Amino acid sequence: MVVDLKKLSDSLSRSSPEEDLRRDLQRIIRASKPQIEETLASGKSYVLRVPDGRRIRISRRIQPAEATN
Amino acid sequence: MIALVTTCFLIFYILVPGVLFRFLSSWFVPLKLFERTRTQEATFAVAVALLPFAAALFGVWNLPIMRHLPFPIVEGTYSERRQDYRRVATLLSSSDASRLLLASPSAASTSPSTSPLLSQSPGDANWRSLNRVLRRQGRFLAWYFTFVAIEGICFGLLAKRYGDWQSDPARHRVPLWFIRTFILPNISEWHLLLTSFNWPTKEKVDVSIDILQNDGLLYQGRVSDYFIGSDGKLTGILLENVNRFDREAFHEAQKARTPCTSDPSTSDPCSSDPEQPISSAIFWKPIPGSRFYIGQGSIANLNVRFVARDQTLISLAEKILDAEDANTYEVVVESEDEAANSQHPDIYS
Repeated sequence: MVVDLKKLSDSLSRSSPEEDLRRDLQRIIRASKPQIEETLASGKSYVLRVPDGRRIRISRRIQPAEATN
Repeated sequence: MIALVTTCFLIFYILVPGVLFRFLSSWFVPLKLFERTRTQEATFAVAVALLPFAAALFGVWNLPIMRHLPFPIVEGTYSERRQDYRRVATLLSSSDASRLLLASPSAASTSPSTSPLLSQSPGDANWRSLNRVLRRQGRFLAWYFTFVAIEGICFGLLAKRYGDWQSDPARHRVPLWFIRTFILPNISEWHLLLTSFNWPTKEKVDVSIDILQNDGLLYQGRVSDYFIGSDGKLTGILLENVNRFDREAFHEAQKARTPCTSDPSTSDPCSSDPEQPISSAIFWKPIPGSRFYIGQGSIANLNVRFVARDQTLISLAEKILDAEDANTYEVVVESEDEAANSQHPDIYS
Protein backbone atom coordinates (compact mmCIF):
# COMPACT_ATOMS: atom_id res chain seq x y z
CA MET A 1 0.00 0.00 0.00
CA VAL A 2 1.54 3.29 -1.07
CA VAL A 3 0.03 6.19 0.80
CA ASP A 4 0.82 9.87 0.62
CA LEU A 5 1.59 10.38 4.30
CA LYS A 6 1.39 14.17 4.04
CA LYS A 7 -2.17 14.00 2.73
CA LEU A 8 -3.10 11.39 5.32
CA SER A 9 -1.66 13.51 8.11
CA ASP A 10 -3.47 16.61 6.83
CA SER A 11 -6.79 14.83 6.57
CA LEU A 12 -6.42 13.45 10.10
CA SER A 13 -5.51 16.88 11.42
CA ARG A 14 -8.62 18.44 9.94
CA SER A 15 -10.72 16.69 12.57
CA SER A 16 -10.33 17.26 16.28
CA PRO A 17 -10.89 14.40 18.74
CA GLU A 18 -12.43 16.83 21.21
CA GLU A 19 -14.78 18.35 18.65
CA ASP A 20 -15.83 14.90 17.41
CA LEU A 21 -16.53 13.83 20.98
CA ARG A 22 -18.54 16.99 21.65
CA ARG A 23 -20.69 16.34 18.57
CA ASP A 24 -21.23 12.69 19.51
CA LEU A 25 -22.12 13.57 23.09
CA GLN A 26 -24.53 16.30 22.04
CA ARG A 27 -26.33 13.88 19.73
CA ILE A 28 -26.51 11.06 22.27
CA ILE A 29 -27.41 13.18 25.27
CA ARG A 30 -30.12 15.05 23.36
CA ALA A 31 -31.57 11.76 22.15
CA SER A 32 -31.65 10.23 25.60
CA LYS A 33 -32.38 13.32 27.67
CA PRO A 34 -35.92 12.19 28.61
CA GLN A 35 -34.65 8.78 29.76
CA ILE A 36 -31.80 10.40 31.68
CA GLU A 37 -34.18 12.75 33.47
CA GLU A 38 -36.61 9.94 34.17
CA THR A 39 -33.89 7.69 35.59
CA LEU A 40 -32.34 10.45 37.70
CA ALA A 41 -35.76 11.47 39.01
CA SER A 42 -36.27 7.95 40.31
CA GLY A 43 -33.06 8.24 42.31
CA LYS A 44 -30.96 6.03 40.04
CA SER A 45 -27.94 6.89 37.97
CA TYR A 46 -27.90 6.60 34.22
CA VAL A 47 -25.10 4.96 32.28
CA LEU A 48 -24.49 6.20 28.80
CA ARG A 49 -22.30 4.51 26.23
CA VAL A 50 -20.10 6.80 24.16
CA PRO A 51 -19.38 5.69 20.55
CA ASP A 52 -15.75 4.95 21.38
CA GLY A 53 -16.88 2.31 23.89
CA ARG A 54 -16.45 4.23 27.14
CA ARG A 55 -19.34 4.38 29.55
CA ILE A 56 -20.20 7.40 31.63
CA ARG A 57 -22.38 7.28 34.73
CA ILE A 58 -24.59 10.33 35.12
CA SER A 59 -26.06 11.16 38.49
CA ARG A 60 -27.48 14.14 40.31
CA ARG A 61 -24.78 16.20 41.94
CA ILE A 62 -25.20 16.23 45.69
CA GLN A 63 -25.27 19.89 46.66
CA PRO A 64 -23.06 20.78 49.64
CA ALA A 65 -26.06 21.89 51.69
CA GLU A 66 -27.83 18.58 51.05
CA ALA A 67 -24.70 16.66 51.87
CA THR A 68 -24.43 18.13 55.33
CA ASN A 69 -28.06 17.34 56.13
CA MET B 1 40.14 -10.24 -4.60
CA ILE B 2 38.52 -7.20 -6.22
CA ALA B 3 35.09 -8.82 -5.82
CA LEU B 4 35.79 -9.38 -2.12
CA VAL B 5 36.87 -5.77 -1.64
CA THR B 6 33.80 -4.49 -3.49
CA THR B 7 31.54 -6.62 -1.29
CA CYS B 8 33.25 -5.32 1.86
CA PHE B 9 32.90 -1.76 0.60
CA LEU B 10 29.18 -2.22 -0.08
CA ILE B 11 28.61 -3.83 3.31
CA PHE B 12 30.54 -1.35 5.45
CA TYR B 13 29.92 1.87 3.57
CA ILE B 14 26.34 1.42 2.34
CA LEU B 15 24.44 -1.47 3.90
CA VAL B 16 25.58 -1.22 7.54
CA PRO B 17 24.82 2.53 7.76
CA GLY B 18 21.35 1.88 6.30
CA VAL B 19 20.64 -0.88 8.81
CA LEU B 20 22.06 1.15 11.70
CA PHE B 21 19.94 4.16 10.77
CA ARG B 22 16.79 2.08 10.46
CA PHE B 23 17.43 0.27 13.74
CA LEU B 24 18.02 3.44 15.78
CA SER B 25 15.22 5.53 14.29
CA SER B 26 12.83 2.63 14.84
CA TRP B 27 13.28 3.08 18.59
CA PHE B 28 11.11 6.16 18.22
CA VAL B 29 8.99 5.63 15.10
CA PRO B 30 8.58 2.56 12.90
CA LEU B 31 9.81 3.31 9.42
CA LYS B 32 7.95 2.33 6.34
CA LEU B 33 8.76 -1.24 5.47
CA PHE B 34 8.36 -2.78 2.11
CA GLU B 35 10.27 -5.19 -0.02
CA ARG B 36 12.69 -3.03 -1.89
CA THR B 37 14.71 -3.95 -4.89
CA ARG B 38 18.48 -3.88 -4.46
CA THR B 39 18.59 -0.55 -6.28
CA GLN B 40 15.93 0.97 -3.99
CA GLU B 41 17.71 -0.36 -0.91
CA ALA B 42 21.02 1.07 -2.13
CA THR B 43 19.40 4.43 -2.98
CA PHE B 44 17.87 4.63 0.49
CA ALA B 45 21.16 3.70 2.12
CA VAL B 46 23.11 6.24 0.05
CA ALA B 47 20.60 8.99 0.81
CA VAL B 48 20.77 8.20 4.52
CA ALA B 49 24.56 7.96 4.52
CA LEU B 50 25.38 11.04 2.49
CA LEU B 51 25.41 13.58 5.31
CA PRO B 52 27.22 11.39 7.89
CA PHE B 53 29.76 10.42 5.22
CA ALA B 54 30.55 14.06 4.44
CA ALA B 55 30.74 14.92 8.15
CA ALA B 56 33.05 11.99 8.91
CA LEU B 57 35.26 12.80 5.94
CA PHE B 58 35.58 16.42 7.00
CA GLY B 59 36.24 15.41 10.60
CA VAL B 60 38.97 12.84 9.97
CA TRP B 61 40.79 15.25 7.71
CA ASN B 62 40.43 18.45 9.72
CA LEU B 63 39.33 18.05 13.32
CA PRO B 64 42.03 17.36 15.94
CA ILE B 65 40.45 14.45 17.84
CA MET B 66 38.89 12.80 14.83
CA ARG B 67 42.19 12.96 12.93
CA HIS B 68 43.91 10.63 15.38
CA LEU B 69 41.32 8.62 17.28
CA PRO B 70 40.48 5.77 17.30
CA PHE B 71 43.25 3.60 15.78
CA PRO B 72 46.03 6.19 16.01
CA ILE B 73 48.94 6.02 13.55
CA VAL B 74 51.83 8.28 12.74
CA GLU B 75 50.43 10.19 9.80
CA GLY B 76 52.99 10.74 7.08
CA THR B 77 53.06 13.32 4.39
CA TYR B 78 50.51 13.52 1.63
CA SER B 79 52.80 11.66 -0.79
CA GLU B 80 53.42 8.87 1.76
CA ARG B 81 49.69 8.47 2.20
CA ARG B 82 49.26 8.27 -1.54
CA GLN B 83 51.99 5.67 -1.70
CA ASP B 84 50.24 3.60 0.98
CA TYR B 85 47.04 3.54 -1.01
CA ARG B 86 48.91 2.81 -4.25
CA ARG B 87 50.62 -0.19 -2.64
CA VAL B 88 47.34 -1.49 -1.25
CA ALA B 89 45.66 -1.02 -4.64
CA THR B 90 48.48 -2.98 -6.26
CA LEU B 91 48.06 -5.69 -3.65
CA LEU B 92 44.32 -5.93 -4.18
CA SER B 93 44.52 -5.94 -7.94
CA SER B 94 47.36 -8.45 -7.98
CA SER B 95 46.59 -12.04 -8.85
CA ASP B 96 49.17 -13.20 -6.29
CA ALA B 97 49.02 -10.84 -3.29
CA SER B 98 50.94 -13.26 -1.06
CA ARG B 99 54.03 -12.91 -3.29
CA LEU B 100 53.99 -9.13 -2.76
CA LEU B 101 53.47 -9.45 0.99
CA LEU B 102 56.25 -11.98 1.42
CA ALA B 103 58.71 -10.31 -0.95
CA SER B 104 62.31 -10.33 0.39
CA PRO B 105 64.79 -7.41 0.17
CA SER B 106 66.44 -9.03 -2.85
CA ALA B 107 63.24 -8.52 -4.77
CA ALA B 108 63.43 -4.81 -4.10
CA SER B 109 64.68 -2.29 -6.53
CA THR B 110 68.45 -2.47 -7.03
CA SER B 111 68.80 1.28 -7.03
CA PRO B 112 69.98 2.67 -3.64
CA SER B 113 67.22 4.34 -1.76
CA THR B 114 67.49 7.43 0.40
CA SER B 115 64.09 7.20 2.09
CA PRO B 116 63.77 4.99 5.19
CA LEU B 117 60.44 3.79 3.82
CA LEU B 118 62.07 2.57 0.69
CA SER B 119 65.04 1.03 2.49
CA GLN B 120 62.89 -1.71 4.00
CA SER B 121 61.91 -4.86 2.15
CA PRO B 122 58.91 -4.56 -0.22
CA GLY B 123 57.05 -7.15 1.81
CA ASP B 124 57.46 -5.12 5.03
CA ALA B 125 56.53 -1.92 3.27
CA ASN B 126 53.40 -3.53 1.88
CA TRP B 127 52.41 -4.83 5.31
CA ARG B 128 52.94 -1.42 6.89
CA SER B 129 50.96 0.30 4.14
CA LEU B 130 48.15 -2.21 4.54
CA ASN B 131 48.14 -1.67 8.31
CA ARG B 132 48.02 2.11 7.95
CA VAL B 133 45.27 1.98 5.34
CA LEU B 134 43.17 -0.38 7.46
CA ARG B 135 43.61 1.82 10.52
CA ARG B 136 42.65 4.93 8.56
CA GLN B 137 39.56 3.21 7.17
CA GLY B 138 38.69 1.82 10.59
CA ARG B 139 38.92 5.30 12.09
CA PHE B 140 36.81 6.75 9.32
CA LEU B 141 34.17 4.01 9.67
CA ALA B 142 34.01 4.48 13.45
CA TRP B 143 33.14 8.16 13.01
CA TYR B 144 30.94 7.45 10.00
CA PHE B 145 28.84 4.95 11.96
CA THR B 146 28.70 7.35 14.92
CA PHE B 147 27.29 10.09 12.70
CA VAL B 148 24.81 7.68 11.11
CA ALA B 149 23.66 6.66 14.61
CA ILE B 150 23.26 10.32 15.61
CA GLU B 151 21.34 10.98 12.41
CA GLY B 152 19.04 8.01 13.09
CA ILE B 153 18.33 9.15 16.65
CA CYS B 154 17.70 12.75 15.53
CA PHE B 155 15.38 11.43 12.81
CA GLY B 156 13.37 9.48 15.37
CA LEU B 157 13.28 12.30 17.91
CA LEU B 158 12.17 14.85 15.31
CA ALA B 159 9.46 12.50 14.07
CA LYS B 160 8.26 12.03 17.65
CA ARG B 161 7.71 15.77 18.06
CA TYR B 162 5.62 16.01 14.90
CA GLY B 163 2.27 15.94 16.70
CA ASP B 164 3.33 18.67 19.15
CA TRP B 165 4.66 20.93 16.43
CA GLN B 166 1.73 20.33 14.15
CA SER B 167 -0.63 21.77 16.74
CA ASP B 168 1.12 25.11 16.29
CA PRO B 169 2.30 25.17 12.66
CA ALA B 170 2.95 28.92 12.52
CA ARG B 171 5.53 28.66 15.28
CA HIS B 172 7.30 25.56 13.97
CA ARG B 173 7.27 26.17 10.26
CA VAL B 174 10.87 25.09 9.55
CA PRO B 175 10.96 21.83 11.57
CA LEU B 176 7.53 20.91 10.21
CA TRP B 177 8.71 21.47 6.64
CA PHE B 178 11.75 19.30 7.34
CA ILE B 179 9.69 16.51 8.90
CA ARG B 180 7.03 16.57 6.20
CA THR B 181 9.62 16.57 3.41
CA PHE B 182 12.17 14.09 4.69
CA ILE B 183 10.76 12.12 7.59
CA LEU B 184 7.02 11.67 7.04
CA PRO B 185 7.35 9.85 3.68
CA ASN B 186 9.50 7.22 5.39
CA ILE B 187 7.19 6.48 8.32
CA SER B 188 4.78 3.57 8.17
CA GLU B 189 1.24 4.72 7.31
CA TRP B 190 -0.09 2.37 9.99
CA HIS B 191 1.82 4.36 12.60
CA LEU B 192 -0.18 7.43 11.60
CA LEU B 193 -3.48 5.57 11.61
CA LEU B 194 -3.08 3.39 14.70
CA THR B 195 -1.19 5.62 17.13
CA SER B 196 -1.55 9.16 18.42
CA PHE B 197 1.52 10.19 16.37
CA ASN B 198 -0.43 12.96 14.64
CA TRP B 199 -1.67 14.57 17.86
CA PRO B 200 0.08 16.62 20.54
CA THR B 201 1.39 14.56 23.46
CA LYS B 202 -0.38 16.77 26.01
CA GLU B 203 -3.79 15.88 24.55
CA LYS B 204 -3.24 12.20 25.40
CA VAL B 205 -5.29 10.99 22.49
CA ASP B 206 -6.15 7.28 22.35
CA VAL B 207 -7.03 5.26 19.29
CA SER B 208 -10.33 3.43 19.35
CA ILE B 209 -11.06 1.10 16.51
CA ASP B 210 -14.09 -0.76 15.17
CA ILE B 211 -13.13 -3.89 13.30
CA LEU B 212 -15.61 -5.63 11.06
CA GLN B 213 -14.48 -9.16 10.41
CA ASN B 214 -15.05 -11.20 7.28
CA ASP B 215 -17.53 -13.35 9.20
CA GLY B 216 -19.63 -10.31 10.08
CA LEU B 217 -18.53 -9.97 13.70
CA LEU B 218 -17.92 -6.43 14.85
CA TYR B 219 -15.37 -5.66 17.56
CA GLN B 220 -14.49 -2.41 19.21
CA GLY B 221 -11.52 -1.64 21.42
CA ARG B 222 -8.48 0.47 22.10
CA VAL B 223 -5.43 -0.16 19.96
CA SER B 224 -2.72 -1.51 22.21
CA ASP B 225 -0.25 -2.49 19.49
CA TYR B 226 -0.07 -3.37 15.85
CA PHE B 227 2.19 -5.57 13.76
CA ILE B 228 3.64 -5.08 10.31
CA GLY B 229 5.10 -7.76 8.06
CA SER B 230 8.31 -7.54 6.09
CA ASP B 231 6.31 -6.34 3.10
CA GLY B 232 4.95 -3.37 5.05
CA LYS B 233 1.44 -4.80 5.30
CA LEU B 234 -0.50 -4.92 8.53
CA THR B 235 -0.43 -8.43 9.97
CA GLY B 236 -2.56 -7.91 13.06
CA ILE B 237 -3.85 -5.57 15.75
CA LEU B 238 -3.72 -6.06 19.50
CA LEU B 239 -6.71 -4.54 21.26
CA GLU B 240 -7.60 -3.89 24.87
CA ASN B 241 -10.96 -3.18 26.51
CA VAL B 242 -12.71 -5.02 23.73
CA ASN B 243 -16.44 -5.19 23.13
CA ARG B 244 -18.21 -7.39 20.63
CA PHE B 245 -21.42 -6.28 19.01
CA ASP B 246 -24.20 -8.82 19.44
CA ARG B 247 -25.67 -8.43 16.00
CA GLU B 248 -28.09 -11.36 16.31
CA ALA B 249 -29.68 -9.96 19.46
CA PHE B 250 -29.86 -6.54 17.82
CA HIS B 251 -31.68 -7.96 14.79
CA GLU B 252 -33.98 -9.90 17.09
CA ALA B 253 -34.79 -6.71 18.96
CA GLN B 254 -35.46 -4.91 15.71
CA LYS B 255 -37.75 -7.70 14.55
CA ALA B 256 -39.56 -7.68 17.88
CA ARG B 257 -40.61 -4.09 17.27
CA THR B 258 -43.84 -5.17 15.58
CA PRO B 259 -46.23 -2.48 14.35
CA CYS B 260 -48.90 -1.45 16.87
CA THR B 261 -52.26 -3.09 16.57
CA SER B 262 -55.36 -0.97 16.10
CA ASP B 263 -57.44 -3.30 18.29
CA PRO B 264 -58.51 -1.19 21.34
CA SER B 265 -59.19 -4.30 23.41
CA THR B 266 -55.51 -5.16 23.49
CA SER B 267 -53.95 -4.02 26.76
CA ASP B 268 -50.45 -3.61 25.27
CA PRO B 269 -50.93 -2.51 21.67
CA CYS B 270 -47.20 -2.27 20.99
CA SER B 271 -44.49 -4.62 22.16
CA SER B 272 -42.23 -1.57 22.23
CA ASP B 273 -42.54 2.00 21.16
CA PRO B 274 -42.00 1.96 17.38
CA GLU B 275 -41.12 5.66 17.41
CA GLN B 276 -38.28 5.00 19.81
CA PRO B 277 -35.14 3.81 17.95
CA ILE B 278 -33.44 0.82 19.48
CA SER B 279 -30.26 1.87 21.19
CA SER B 280 -27.34 -0.21 19.97
CA ALA B 281 -25.44 0.48 23.19
CA ILE B 282 -26.86 -2.48 25.10
CA PHE B 283 -25.79 -4.89 22.40
CA TRP B 284 -22.09 -4.21 22.91
CA LYS B 285 -20.84 -7.08 25.08
CA PRO B 286 -17.55 -6.65 26.93
CA ILE B 287 -15.03 -9.40 26.27
CA PRO B 288 -13.12 -10.52 29.35
CA GLY B 289 -9.34 -10.47 29.15
CA SER B 290 -6.86 -7.69 28.78
CA ARG B 291 -5.55 -8.32 25.28
CA PHE B 292 -7.36 -9.36 22.14
CA TYR B 293 -5.51 -10.06 18.90
CA ILE B 294 -7.16 -9.84 15.51
CA GLY B 295 -5.17 -11.06 12.53
CA GLN B 296 -5.17 -9.16 9.28
CA GLY B 297 -6.68 -12.11 7.40
CA SER B 298 -9.98 -11.79 9.22
CA ILE B 299 -10.28 -8.01 8.98
CA ALA B 300 -12.76 -6.79 6.40
CA ASN B 301 -13.02 -3.19 7.48
CA LEU B 302 -11.53 -0.75 9.98
CA ASN B 303 -13.08 2.34 11.49
CA VAL B 304 -10.44 4.35 13.30
CA ARG B 305 -11.45 6.94 15.87
CA PHE B 306 -9.13 9.23 17.82
CA VAL B 307 -10.60 9.74 21.25
CA ALA B 308 -9.99 12.47 23.77
CA ARG B 309 -8.99 11.54 27.33
CA ASP B 310 -11.46 10.77 30.11
CA GLN B 311 -11.22 14.20 31.72
CA THR B 312 -12.25 15.85 28.46
CA LEU B 313 -15.17 13.42 28.15
CA ILE B 314 -16.37 14.26 31.68
CA SER B 315 -16.12 18.02 31.24
CA LEU B 316 -17.84 17.93 27.85
CA ALA B 317 -20.65 15.71 29.12
CA GLU B 318 -21.20 17.94 32.16
CA LYS B 319 -21.19 21.03 29.98
CA ILE B 320 -23.79 19.59 27.60
CA LEU B 321 -25.97 18.25 30.42
CA ASP B 322 -25.73 21.44 32.43
CA ALA B 323 -26.65 23.63 29.48
CA GLU B 324 -29.88 24.58 31.24
CA ASP B 325 -29.43 23.60 34.87
CA ALA B 326 -26.19 24.86 36.29
CA ASN B 327 -24.05 22.33 38.14
CA THR B 328 -26.79 19.73 38.45
CA TYR B 329 -25.17 16.64 37.01
CA GLU B 330 -22.18 14.63 38.03
CA VAL B 331 -20.44 12.51 35.43
CA VAL B 332 -17.86 9.79 35.96
CA VAL B 333 -16.25 7.52 33.45
CA GLU B 334 -16.80 3.89 34.32
CA SER B 335 -13.81 1.63 34.47
CA GLU B 336 -13.76 -1.22 32.01
CA ASP B 337 -14.04 -3.73 34.85
CA GLU B 338 -17.28 -2.18 36.04
CA ALA B 339 -18.64 -2.28 32.52
CA ALA B 340 -17.53 -5.87 31.98
CA ASN B 341 -19.08 -7.05 35.25
CA SER B 342 -22.40 -5.48 34.50
CA GLN B 343 -25.14 -7.57 32.94
CA HIS B 344 -27.25 -4.49 32.39
CA PRO B 345 -24.92 -1.86 31.06
CA ASP B 346 -27.53 0.77 30.42
CA ILE B 347 -29.07 1.54 33.79
CA TYR B 348 -27.67 0.97 37.27
CA SER B 349 -29.48 1.52 40.47
